[in-house]
Amino acid sequence: MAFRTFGTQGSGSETPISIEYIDKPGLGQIALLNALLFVLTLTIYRFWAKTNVRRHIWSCVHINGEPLEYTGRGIELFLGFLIVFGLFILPLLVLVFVLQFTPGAEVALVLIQSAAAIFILLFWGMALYRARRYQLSRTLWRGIRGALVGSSLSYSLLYFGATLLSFITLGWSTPAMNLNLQERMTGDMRFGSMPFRFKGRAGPLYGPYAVCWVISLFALIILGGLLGFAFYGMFDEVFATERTGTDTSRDFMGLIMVIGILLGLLLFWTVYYMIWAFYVAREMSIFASYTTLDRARFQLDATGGSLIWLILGNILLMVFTLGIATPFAQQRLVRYLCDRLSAHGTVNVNEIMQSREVVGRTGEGLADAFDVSWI
Amino acid sequence: MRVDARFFDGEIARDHVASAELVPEGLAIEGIEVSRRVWSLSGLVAISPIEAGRPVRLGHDSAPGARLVITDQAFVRELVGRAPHLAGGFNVRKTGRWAAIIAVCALITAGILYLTLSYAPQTLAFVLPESWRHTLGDQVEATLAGGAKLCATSTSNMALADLASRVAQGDPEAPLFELKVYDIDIVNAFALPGDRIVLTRKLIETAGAPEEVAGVLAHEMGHVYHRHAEAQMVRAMGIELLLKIASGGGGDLGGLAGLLAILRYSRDAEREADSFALDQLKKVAIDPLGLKRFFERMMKLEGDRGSSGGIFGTVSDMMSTHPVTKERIDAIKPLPEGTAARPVLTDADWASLKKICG
Repeated sequence: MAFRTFGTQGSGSETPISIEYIDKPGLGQIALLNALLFVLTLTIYRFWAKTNVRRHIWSCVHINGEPLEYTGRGIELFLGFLIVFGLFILPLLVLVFVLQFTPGAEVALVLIQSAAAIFILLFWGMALYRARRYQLSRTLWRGIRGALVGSSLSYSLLYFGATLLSFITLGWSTPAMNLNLQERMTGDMRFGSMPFRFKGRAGPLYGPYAVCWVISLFALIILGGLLGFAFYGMFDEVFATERTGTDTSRDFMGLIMVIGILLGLLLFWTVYYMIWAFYVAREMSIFASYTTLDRARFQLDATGGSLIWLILGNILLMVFTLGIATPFAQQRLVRYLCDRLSAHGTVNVNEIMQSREVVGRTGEGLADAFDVSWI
Repeated sequence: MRVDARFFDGEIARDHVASAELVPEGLAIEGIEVSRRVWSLSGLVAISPIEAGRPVRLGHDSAPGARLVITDQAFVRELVGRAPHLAGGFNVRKTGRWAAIIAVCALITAGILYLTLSYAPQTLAFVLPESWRHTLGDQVEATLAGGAKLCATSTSNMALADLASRVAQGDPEAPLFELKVYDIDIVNAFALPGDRIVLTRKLIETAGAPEEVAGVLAHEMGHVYHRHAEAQMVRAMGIELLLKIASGGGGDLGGLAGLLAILRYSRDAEREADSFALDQLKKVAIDPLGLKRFFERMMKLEGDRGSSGGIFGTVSDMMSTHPVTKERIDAIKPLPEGTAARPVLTDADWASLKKICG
């Protein structure tokens, strides 16, 4: 296969940017081996599994004909996990366990559990930021790595504030705060020595947001009413059996109830996320259009329908293969972005120097604990 | 052989035209803007698996970020001939390392499982604080009773108190325990954490003589003595903790609802309790054949209708929690010559025990 060379001679050449996902075989083998070792090692292999998948998917993403390269290692993720686990999760688990069986410690138990919940909320942003930093620092293109140069703590606080504000304003602060968060994250991103820039107003986000907000409110009322009605009938039935039925029929009705409630919730969340997919697609597109690198501006043709098909397809893919096909779901996601992302304008590629940011030794401990990373 | 190649030096994103050449010391790289350097063959890394017809990307241990892209297939073949590790495939060192990693993982897993399931519970059962054992006992008893009526306890009922003290009579080593009877329509007896023993109404009704109930009680005292119930609880917690660790902190497993299922002891625990019971019965001069008759009764019942249990593991009968085997029955011997069995309860006590649940 021939490959093209860009601006081989001279400096100061302005290069247009093309993004392409070129599939290659091997992912199936990775998926099977990962699933096998995942079980054999009591899930600990997941860090190496993730690494294998990323290495494959990264190498399929071609920018101007040159593939990306993932240089992360499983052991780095594993160490990151061990640190977070040893520092936070294990002490918390043990504490809750001990308190559970100590008489008179109910108040302490509730306090600890609320503290844990607040802790998670407070550090969720940090987990996101640090995971992004790790991935960028392990992504190479033309031998140059990415970087995220800001403070994960200040991002985390901003994220926490945004979450609180969204509760207080019933969600209406979300578009503006999402813009803030994106501005911070993208503004901190570097490719080598070259910064990404993000500039734009939140105004255009509010139209789609209002539409989705109102529709989801109606959906909530209608679905809530329907489900409530259905359960009312079922409760009657259950109470009747409770009084007259045998042990087995009571157990059976209990089981039916639980399944009914779960299905109802599933239906509700599916509809809810489908409605919001339209906003998310608009937001992704608008954010992309606010993003520039050197003299190139990005464009992302995301639509609600295609996003729903992507996510729904991925969920079905993972559920029906018991998770074995997860790498293919992740591949679909990356391919979706690559297919729909384009850049207009040029980047002076030949001027980009290697990043001078310090490369951390471990990665994604918090992100793994909170399970926030998509890939 | 000398071919054209593209070189990224890891310092700047631009590519450099260079030439690559195999020399005795390794792979030499040189270009107009690239000073001559030689990469040792052993340090070479194929960035992605080498495939025929595709350009090969190489890196080197000594130069992170630096990449050499070679398109000339003949050169690639020659290179792979001299540095076979680039082609991947079977590699004794790599395979050996993997085998070692898997073996170590398996060993560690087995070790952790052994510690959690076998060694630690029995040890921890004896160091659990008193208050924990009672909290655990309360929780298990509530789950076990599941709303059934508490008929009597050995602290308030004379017949039960007499029975308990008769089996433990004058033996300073016998464990202290509280005896309770619940109105449950299944033949079973339970040793719970926190030194308590529960008998079901059906068990007392089924028994043909006080010696049979005393035998069962001695057996449950064995469980109390060895703290089998506590050990099972620790085991359950260990399993839950392991699951939480494996899933990274998430996931909750039914909590204490499934505790009852856990009160199934291993064969070893049953054997220990049996052997305690036989010793105890001998010490206090109660006829062990009572226990034998009770076990035989159980075996016959099992033959008649099989065991039962609800969908969610509600209280099940004795055969499922204390499987009676021929071996266990055969192990029960009569009192030695010269020791006369003394009665367990007065006729009045036995009669009142029989109708303890009204």
